[in-house]
Amino acid sequence: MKQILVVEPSVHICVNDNNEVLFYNTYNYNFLYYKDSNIVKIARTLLSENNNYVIYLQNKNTKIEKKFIDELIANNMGFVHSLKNTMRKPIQLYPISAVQKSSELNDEDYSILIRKNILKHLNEATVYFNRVKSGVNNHILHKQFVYPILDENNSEIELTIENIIHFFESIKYSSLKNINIVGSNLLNFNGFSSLVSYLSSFNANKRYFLRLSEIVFDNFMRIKEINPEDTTIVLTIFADSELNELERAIISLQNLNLNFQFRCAVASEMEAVFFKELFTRYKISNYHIIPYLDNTNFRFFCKNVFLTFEEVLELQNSMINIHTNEHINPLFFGKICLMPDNSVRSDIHSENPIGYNDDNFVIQEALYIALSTENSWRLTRNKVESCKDCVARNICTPISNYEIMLQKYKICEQQ
Amino acid sequence: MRNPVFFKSNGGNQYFFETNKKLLHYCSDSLKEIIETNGKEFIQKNFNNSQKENYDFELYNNMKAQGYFIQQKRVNNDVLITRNHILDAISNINQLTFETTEKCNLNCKYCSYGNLYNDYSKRTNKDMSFDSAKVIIDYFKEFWDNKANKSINGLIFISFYGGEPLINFNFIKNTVDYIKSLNIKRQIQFSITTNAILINKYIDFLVENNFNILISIDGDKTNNSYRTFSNGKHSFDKLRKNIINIKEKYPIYFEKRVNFNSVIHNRNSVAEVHDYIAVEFGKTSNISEIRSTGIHPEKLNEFKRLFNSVNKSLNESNNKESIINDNFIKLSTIENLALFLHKYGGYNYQDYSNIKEKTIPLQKTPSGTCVPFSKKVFITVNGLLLPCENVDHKYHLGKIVLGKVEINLEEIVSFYKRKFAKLKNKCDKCYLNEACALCMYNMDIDLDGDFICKSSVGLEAFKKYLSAQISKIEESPYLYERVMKNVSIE
Repeated sequence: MKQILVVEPSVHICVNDNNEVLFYNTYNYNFLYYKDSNIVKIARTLLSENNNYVIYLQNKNTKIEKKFIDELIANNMGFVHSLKNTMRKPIQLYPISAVQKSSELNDEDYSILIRKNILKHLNEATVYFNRVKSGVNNHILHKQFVYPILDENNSEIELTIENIIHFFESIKYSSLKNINIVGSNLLNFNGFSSLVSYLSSFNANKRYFLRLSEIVFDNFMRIKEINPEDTTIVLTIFADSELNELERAIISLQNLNLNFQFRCAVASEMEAVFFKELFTRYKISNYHIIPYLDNTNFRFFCKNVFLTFEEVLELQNSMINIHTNEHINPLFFGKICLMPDNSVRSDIHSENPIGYNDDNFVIQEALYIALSTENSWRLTRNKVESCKDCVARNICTPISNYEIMLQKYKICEQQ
Repeated sequence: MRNPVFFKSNGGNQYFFETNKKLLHYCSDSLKEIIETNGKEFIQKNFNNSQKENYDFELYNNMKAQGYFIQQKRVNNDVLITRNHILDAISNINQLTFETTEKCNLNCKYCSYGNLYNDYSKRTNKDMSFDSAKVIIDYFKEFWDNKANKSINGLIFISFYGGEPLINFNFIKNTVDYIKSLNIKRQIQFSITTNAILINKYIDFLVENNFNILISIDGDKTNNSYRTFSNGKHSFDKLRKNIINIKEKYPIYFEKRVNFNSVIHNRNSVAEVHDYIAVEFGKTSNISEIRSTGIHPEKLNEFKRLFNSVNKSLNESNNKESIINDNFIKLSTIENLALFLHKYGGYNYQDYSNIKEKTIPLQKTPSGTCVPFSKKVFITVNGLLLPCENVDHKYHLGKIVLGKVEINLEEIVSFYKRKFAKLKNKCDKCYLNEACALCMYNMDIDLDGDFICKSSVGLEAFKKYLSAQISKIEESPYLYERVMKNVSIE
């Protein structure tokens, strides 16, 4: 009889050259982290193409190895089996993520493969229909979450309804699932009624982003033009709003037959508590709290946005999540923006447009650029210097707007 | 449908396959017992449980919490073909294959258009006219330049097939010249499948236009002896001389653009073909089998005598490992394993969008039949449009009439709906549905003229299939990683 160690296919194993190894069980979310060359050696043997998560055990196992095996068993990650001498070594189809049209192919093959049916990769389009002047503190909000572009330096500009319709006509054969309309004072936008009417023919979820302060008596009824069936109104609220005004507005909006989502932007713990109490009082559950960075609250921001290494290990990931994190950035992939200057970009941060929304605009060409050049779509932790050797890089959260804005990617060192 | 399915490999190991979540798992006896009794067996034993049983019970519970082992009616994701599917396929078509001529200068024993078969339209030695090609190209060009085309500067394959296409060289030249004159905003790749008997005369043109050339050759002179001229003389010497000439005159082109296809039969073997092509030409060959459908009833014994299975032949090779390594993705045994791993391995993603969608299952039509026009269109010398060259002409999807292409979408939808309706019942019960590669056009026909699938796989046959695939990996463990990383299935 021979002894074999069989690791479960639910286990994600990641090793690095710093003698670190992580075993992460996607069934019970238990993990084992070691910094030990002996364990790293075993992990590499398990991962070798001739073993497929199954290795023969020698009788001369060291104490460390025995302890490791006991820990694997205790975490339901693997077990020692006896194998008759007449039997072949079994295999586990361990979790290899195979993306057939992957950039890991050589450039020529990848280039050919992604050209075919390229429109399927477009799932979400966000239109920033204007850029307006604003004070110092507000100018980076749109880099943190979906929010109107407020700029302290550049001049004010606005897209026309013709620009916007031209853009959507160009992308209508894609696999568009979500449409976001963002800008300052949407309800006062010249083409508002035409836009609402035009977009109603699109079979996609629509989200109109408004700020609570923009809804005033004069334009209140315009909200009703929005068809509630496939549209959500995302309402951003800041804690500096007058409390009485805020309460009155929430009650008025609640009475409308529309889908609202309240988004509370907070810069401190106190503001977060304020909103939680407010919405609890009105028994409203469709709200979420978003921390944002201003010039004064870096400590609060880091505490609420970033995670420690230990917190990363505690995250609950499925194997498909891990594979997604390995290859793409799910927060950005498949999304494009039409900017107020009529340029088309793969994300709000990118400096280089993937196209211009003029008569020569071909969405297929723009998507080809998005898929074949380095940008946020495939910005994974494997690609950034500070994270690429970390054993937890694929179970960690995807790189976010906040990190791109700060150009700091190692979230576990920000606190 | 049983879930999970337990089976044993040839190496004596037990596994289970979870049919809902598509997971293959090594399985001890105690785990099997726990799964089969829903854990009751374990609970009854209680304090006497071994460490292994405790481990397996925890594993079973963890898996159950993740949604494994649910006994539910199988969700069949098979979709029926709609007008939009076809329009979408036509708008995005990327291969036109012209049946350049029905004529051939060879008379190969196992030819699909020879007397071994009775399921093809009668050959009348007709050539295709350039006018027909022009009509077809003009028709599809509109779609290549259309906004509804979901690709960008994609590769369009223009292929010439026969008979022996070089017999109608003027047609090839005129078609190539015409396509080049159109300034199509696509990458065009010309290709030709040829027996290479006439190739010396035209090789300069083919090289100039960067043709992919696929040459049919079955090995050395003895191996190749079913490929004869109509007077019965061997074609081998002429063929070899012509190939060597290309290799010497255009060595870089030969390396990059010339490939071989070899049919395995009773006068050759995978090893002989592999060794000959490697030594003589420094290349590997695509390996295929003699077609096993549509055989003339009177020729059944002759077919049986000629036929040799690629798998059997490969297993009989002394240098099997090196053949697999050299020919990796060209062998049907690897192709079958790839299909199995891609459909049942659990972690195969077509592209980045597929990995992002996560839970959306891959939709397919009943059987392994593709959506018409989704892979290619084959145009016959008579101007009929077929889904591919292996489909009987009576099932054409459209035709050229008075200088125009006529495609009746409603008729096609209705035809596929009728045919799929009958097949779907079988597919619903077939354990191998997801990995089906069987095209309905290659199936037998019943008295009503409907296609009948004789390959529907029940539980026991499915166990055998799983066992055969897992046994291949147990035997050569490296195959798993190599197939997952290097082989792609459309």
